Amino acid sequence: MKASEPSAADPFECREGNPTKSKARPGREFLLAALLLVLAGCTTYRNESPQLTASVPLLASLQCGKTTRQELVNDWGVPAASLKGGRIVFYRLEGNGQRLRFSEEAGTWKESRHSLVLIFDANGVLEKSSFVRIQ
Amino acid sequence: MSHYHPINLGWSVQGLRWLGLLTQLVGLLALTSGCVLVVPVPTAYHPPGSRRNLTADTAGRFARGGATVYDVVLALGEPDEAVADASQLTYRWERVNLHLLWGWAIPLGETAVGQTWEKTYSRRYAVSFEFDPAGLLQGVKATNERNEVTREQ
Repeated sequence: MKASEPSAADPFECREGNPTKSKARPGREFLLAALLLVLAGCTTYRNESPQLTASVPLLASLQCGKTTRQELVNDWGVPAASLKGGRIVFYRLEGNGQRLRFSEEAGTWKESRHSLVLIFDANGVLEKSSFVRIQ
Repeated sequence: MSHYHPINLGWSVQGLRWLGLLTQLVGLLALTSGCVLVVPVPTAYHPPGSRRNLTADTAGRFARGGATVYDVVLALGEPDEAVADASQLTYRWERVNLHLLWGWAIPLGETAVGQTWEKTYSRRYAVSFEFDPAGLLQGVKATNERNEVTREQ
């Protein structure tokens, strides 16, 4: 093998481009970049995994095995929805970070951006919880 | 001898020709002095009020017979429709794919007459999860339908 021959498989190898062969087309590149920018801006799905409620300051008081459904109704009011006779309870929240607050919106998700999901046992004690970003 | 013709309103052949020419001229003037616009604008966004945490792939994220109703709600949040015993949960969302603007305008002195319309083409999606009495996922049904809304401006 000749010493000057470049090894094709090495991904860390520095390669110098041949300026005589490169044909820069700024117009086309600009259009492509603009198109990608527009498309990237439009595709805004919220696919992040649900957060633990312990990581949200407003919800830090929730304790699995201790917090009861009745305590939450007293502190936060009536939930946005509940299923299975109160075993599954949902609250809605709007805002972000320090400005996070409970929402009274029902139906559509115009104002509320997050869904707090609480799972209670048969005695109404909190078993599981998650904080899901909807918007 | 004169024959009565039902569409003969007293116009001579030459008069009818002139009328036809005049009509064409007026039409041409209207078209050349005004404009007709058709502007399609491709988009890909969720309209206000639609949830954004679901995609067409969401239906396949949960295993039938393995996932529970708790797994689904903990992952996706409050459903948009639900049976009280949680035997069925439905999540809905919408995506706008295209705005189509069209209209016409003809200048008249310092003003102009015209009209424009906007049509929004979107697709409404729904994923329904069905659970057995034990809360295990039994079936998932995903649907989508086209939605069109026209607005006069």
